[in-house]
Amino acid sequence: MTAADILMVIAVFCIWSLLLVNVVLIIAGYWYYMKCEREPEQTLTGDAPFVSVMVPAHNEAKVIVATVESLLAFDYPQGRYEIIVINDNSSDDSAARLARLQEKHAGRNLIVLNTDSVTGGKGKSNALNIGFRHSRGELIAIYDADNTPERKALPYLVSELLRDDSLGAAIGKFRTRNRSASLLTRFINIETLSFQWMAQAGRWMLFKLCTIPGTNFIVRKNILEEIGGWDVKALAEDTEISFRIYQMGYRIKFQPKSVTWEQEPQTLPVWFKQRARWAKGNIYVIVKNIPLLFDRRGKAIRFDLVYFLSIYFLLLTSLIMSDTLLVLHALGLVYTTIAGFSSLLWTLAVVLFIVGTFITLTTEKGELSLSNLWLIALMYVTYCQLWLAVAAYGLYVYLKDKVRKRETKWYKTERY
Amino acid sequence: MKRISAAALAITFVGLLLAKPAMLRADTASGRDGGVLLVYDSLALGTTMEGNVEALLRLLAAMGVPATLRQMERYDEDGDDLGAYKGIIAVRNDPELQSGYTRFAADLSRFPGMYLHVGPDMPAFFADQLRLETAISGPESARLSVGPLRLANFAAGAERMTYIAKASGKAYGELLWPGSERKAPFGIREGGIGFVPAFRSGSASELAMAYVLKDWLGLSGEGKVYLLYKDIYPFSDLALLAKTADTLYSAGIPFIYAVQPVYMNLGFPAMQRYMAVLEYAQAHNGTLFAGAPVLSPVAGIQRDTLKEKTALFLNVLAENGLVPLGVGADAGLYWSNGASFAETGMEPFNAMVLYPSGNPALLMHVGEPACRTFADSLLSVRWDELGPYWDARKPVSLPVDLAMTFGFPAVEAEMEGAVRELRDSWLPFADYKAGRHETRTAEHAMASSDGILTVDGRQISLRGNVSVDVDLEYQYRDLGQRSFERLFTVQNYFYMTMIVASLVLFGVLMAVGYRLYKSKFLK
Repeated sequence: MTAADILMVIAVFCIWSLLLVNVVLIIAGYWYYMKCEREPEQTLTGDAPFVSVMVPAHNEAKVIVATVESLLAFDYPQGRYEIIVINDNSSDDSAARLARLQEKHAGRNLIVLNTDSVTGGKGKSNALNIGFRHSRGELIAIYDADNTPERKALPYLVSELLRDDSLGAAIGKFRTRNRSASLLTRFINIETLSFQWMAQAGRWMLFKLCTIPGTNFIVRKNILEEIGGWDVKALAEDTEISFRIYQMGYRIKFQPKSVTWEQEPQTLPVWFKQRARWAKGNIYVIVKNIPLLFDRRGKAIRFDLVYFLSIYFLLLTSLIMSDTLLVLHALGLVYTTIAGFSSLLWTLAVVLFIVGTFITLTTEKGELSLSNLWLIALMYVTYCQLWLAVAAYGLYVYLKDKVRKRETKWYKTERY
Repeated sequence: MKRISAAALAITFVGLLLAKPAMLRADTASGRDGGVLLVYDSLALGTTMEGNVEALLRLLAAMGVPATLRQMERYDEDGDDLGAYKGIIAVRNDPELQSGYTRFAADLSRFPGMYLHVGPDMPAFFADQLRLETAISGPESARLSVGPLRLANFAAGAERMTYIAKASGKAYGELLWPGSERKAPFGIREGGIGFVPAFRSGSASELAMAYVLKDWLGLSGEGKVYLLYKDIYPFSDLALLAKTADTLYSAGIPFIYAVQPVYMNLGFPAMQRYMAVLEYAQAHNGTLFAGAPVLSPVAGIQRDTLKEKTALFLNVLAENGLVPLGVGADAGLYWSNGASFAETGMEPFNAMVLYPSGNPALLMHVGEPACRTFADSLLSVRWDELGPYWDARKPVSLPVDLAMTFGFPAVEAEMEGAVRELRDSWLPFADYKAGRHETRTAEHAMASSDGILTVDGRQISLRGNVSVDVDLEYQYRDLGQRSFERLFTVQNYFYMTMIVASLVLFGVLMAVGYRLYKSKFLK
């Protein structure tokens, strides 16, 4: 038995354990889907609460008009919600476009806050805090600048919060608007669907846990006031705020009927930078909240902490470690005496991945197709392997910035 | 005192006179120790006589006679002590070289021992002793009858050859030229002088020469005919090997399997299957011969390891109840490798069969052929050259043991056709293990006597069924110690079970989901 053997055993155990956890989440998530389908459609009863819909935007001229138009079209009493666009330090003609939009919809509660490098330009969290200070609503809804939510997206979210006081926030579903643009966007489309139905729905079904996805979600204003708004140092401000909501004793529910459509990266470099930012941001949040693992106050988020720790640290390091050991063993640089892996087992695991992912696609119209099945198989050997690089790079950048004590830097995702 | 000495001398002298002709068959270390000197002028490459020198060497080896090969040109350069030899065989293949080799001719004229001349133009002082008159035939084919053979092919093409028109002494065989109906003896002998005007390689001619040699050398004993299959490897069609043994057994024909040796991976299942079939053959009237290895650095077999490798193979056979009673070798390989081959690779055996090399030119590069003789040797002959002409109706004594040699058939139909021919020929094939033979390594002694096979003195039982308990999980490579094997085995089973169960559940979800999808989106 060599040191390499022990490392390999640990790595294999971690990988397979997480695989089984995800299987459980898929089953739970699908169960939740079927449950939601059986539920009658929720309609708003009584007075509609005033909602502040905030849209942080930085150089979003290409997409912001369509986004605001969609927000203005919500099936929600027009006088009972405002739209606050935080045009944060934009150097394009976003301000002009938004101004024209305001003129066009003069009677609507459309507020545009333009900031510059002094008053703004410090990232999404800071922009949201600026908008928050101007908000009047008792509920705060957030949409990214490239989103075009469906008309009923907001009412669904509001009705969820109204029905359950234990909820601190409710999240909807996001879909890929440009999913046919490239092979990458098709992969992203599958990924986002399976993630939401597995990770979000599954966790909600089992543990009453969800994580705010950064867009198409609604949160009670008093909670935001209590936690002091968004953490400007957090790149993954959505994950960060989710943890804080849970710590306050509230829950976050997944409402799949609330749907928004957003633009996803169409090229690999843009995608890589975006995902690496997310990875780095999530790592920041996890590290920040690790002490809560052993604290009674962290009870509500313990599963999420462990889950994210497992994904970003355990799984990542296990995959890197096992792949590295296999390569070194093949090169004859490391000697392992470990019993051989069962190729049947690995084949079954791949089949499981494909089938499990495909199941989540049955929830959406037009996604149950043979081409998607092949895409999932292709994803396994391409897109999914890239995530290893994304996570590893995110971890590397996080550590580098930590060591060098560099400030958080926001990267703007390119729009089309 | 003087009277006693004279009487002792007389008794000794009479005893010597009455003694049978000395048998030359002996395990001598050198051909010079009472053996035969074989000199030739040319190997006759590219002519109809090509291979006759090699055939003579094989004949002498089959008869257990030590022989030294010398080209006449080299003899004229280096000379030799002819007195060290009991007999000289001179092969004259090239008429244009008749007048050369004066030194040899001079030494020969003073040679007191036995002389056998092969080819035309026997030296005059020998020819006079035989009162020999020769003639030359016309350009026509010739047939040979000798011993059990009737009109076998001798010279298929139209060629002129020297024949014995008139001579004293005993005649051997009969040559017939059908076109002219001319007849002449194949060879003649009187005392220690023999003459064979035309000798070529070929089973019929070799058998005729064996008759001459036996009497010329004063050998005793009766030869037998054996059936021998060679070119048997571990990767031969083992089912066909067993079937052939079955078929021959049913036809009542004993046989010899000359099997190629295996020097590596002796524990592999392929080797076990090989030995199982050989055991089956042995139990069905078969006898085993081992094949001599091909000495070659490329083949991984070199002289310095030959003895060990041969012993290794033989020991494995012995330990599995298999008794190889002789060795078969390609004649060219045998001559090329000389003493090292005979003394190391073939040392455990006392019986040998040499197969014609097919490359007589090899003799040009041979120094002294291996002089080790074997107690029991066989002359390898071809069925198609003897079988069709063999008259088995009358029993005839043979001068040498014959091994009717077949290459192992490729297909069953070929085998069955051959066995049918053998059966219909009524040839009295003998069982080799009926004789006394022994193969000995440092660890084991394998022997036969009166049909009983023994290993280290213990009789082996002949099992008639071929069942091999070959381990299907045989590890061909040593995997070395593996860590966490049990853990991974348990873990693998656990995860496979979980995954299969999940897949089943996913299948149910898919079915439900598809119905839901159809009702929701496709109505």
